[in-house]
Amino acid sequence: MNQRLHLALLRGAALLVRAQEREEWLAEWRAELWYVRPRRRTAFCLGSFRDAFWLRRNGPAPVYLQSPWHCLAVLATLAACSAGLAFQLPLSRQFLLAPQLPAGTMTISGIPLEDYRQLSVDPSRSAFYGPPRFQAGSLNVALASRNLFDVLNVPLAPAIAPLVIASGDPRLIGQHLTVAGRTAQIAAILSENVWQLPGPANAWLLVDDQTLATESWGYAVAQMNRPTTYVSVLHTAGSVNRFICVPLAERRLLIAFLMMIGVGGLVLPAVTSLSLGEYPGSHGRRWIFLAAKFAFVLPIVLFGSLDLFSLIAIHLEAHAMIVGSVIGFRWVLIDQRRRCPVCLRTLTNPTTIGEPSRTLLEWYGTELICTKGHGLLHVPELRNSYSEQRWLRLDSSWSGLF
Amino acid sequence: MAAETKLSHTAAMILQAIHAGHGYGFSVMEMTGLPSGTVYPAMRRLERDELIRSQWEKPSIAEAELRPPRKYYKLTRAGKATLDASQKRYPLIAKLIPAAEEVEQA
Repeated sequence: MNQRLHLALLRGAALLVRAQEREEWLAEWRAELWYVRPRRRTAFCLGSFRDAFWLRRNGPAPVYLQSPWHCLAVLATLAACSAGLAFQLPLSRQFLLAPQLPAGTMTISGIPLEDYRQLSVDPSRSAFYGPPRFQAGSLNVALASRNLFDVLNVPLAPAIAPLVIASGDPRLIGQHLTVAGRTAQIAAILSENVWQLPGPANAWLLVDDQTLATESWGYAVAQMNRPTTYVSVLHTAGSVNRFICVPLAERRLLIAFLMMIGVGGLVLPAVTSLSLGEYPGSHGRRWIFLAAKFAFVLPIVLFGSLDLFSLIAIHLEAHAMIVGSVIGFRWVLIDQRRRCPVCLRTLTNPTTIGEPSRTLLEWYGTELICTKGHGLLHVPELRNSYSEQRWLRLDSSWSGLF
Repeated sequence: MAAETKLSHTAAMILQAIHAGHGYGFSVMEMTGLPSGTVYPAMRRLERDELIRSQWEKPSIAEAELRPPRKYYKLTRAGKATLDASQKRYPLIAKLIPAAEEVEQA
């Protein structure tokens, strides 16, 4: 078991190493692992990630990302693939294509059935359901008005005794279940990721008003004409009952998207420098390229997070969006800093210049060159206020060298 | 790479360990007490700067000893010159990690 874990750690780290170096890198680490005492093997294997990161950071950029057009094409392909996958996988598809709630949809919890019937709301735009009444496997089934999901704008498959389930595989629609000795047919499966009805029920059996009359209290759903915080019911005896109205909140994609951008943008300065270096003159194409990369990274992260959620069926999509946006934005900035501002190709041939012992008094860092002969980029090993990365433009007199 | 290249103390220790005959990564770790996450990236850096070079041992040797083949590291000429300069800067390194022949003489 432990040996498998250690090999899995090494294989995981190997994914960070470039494909052409991966086999030899893994062979070396596996050979070295053989000599390590069992107690120290986990710490030893975790060190492999640092080694793999070092190789990744200090190696040349992948060939397919060197040209700006190739880079954008790769990003566009990734964005299209992750979006296509999100619309194919059942859970993410359900989230993306969930019907929109009608405007002004409110819920009222703990309302007696008698009071619900006296509400001054159009009966076709309001519905009632009770607390869970039956148990069917893991389902807590409540009785509900026939029009509950018409009010919520959820389309139902035709069924004689329709049952709606809060979450699950959409392929279950049409299957039969026995609820309290009666056969019910699954007419819809909601996406709990979009909105949730109040109460502990996670399945609703749609029944007629006569059957529903057995309920004494429950929950009401209504489309209100205007936003309201409470509704009043006047009794014949002169007393007034007031019930608080709560809007049925939708967790829409737009909110998740804006949150992803906001949190990612806030965290970004902590993980990389926001500066793109000193570049004399304006290079409009450079900014357009930067904007295009951001524009492609956003859908990759958004749909990629939904794909992940759909594949592992665990609600980690919000976490994945935030972590993904930070990693994606960081890559965009680092990639931009390592490109020629004229032709936008990735700079190559990194060369260490100077010595670490002279960091404070002289220049020490890495020099990269544009293969088209546009210039040199000086990247200091230690960035500070007086030592930012600089671009040295080469004029046409250098063209003979390239 | 200039012969006078100055190394950090850690890099000089690793170079000294390789010079002393600890030719593969785990042996360097054992000798210096440094973790794997420090030793291997440092050795990659030394190899990139052409101070050391690596070579896989012949599989037949490893098979005869019933173990996986090792990747051995050796100092280059530039590495030896750099180590000599580092020993002047960090004189204790040579005493901490003596070369095999020096141990025999002692």
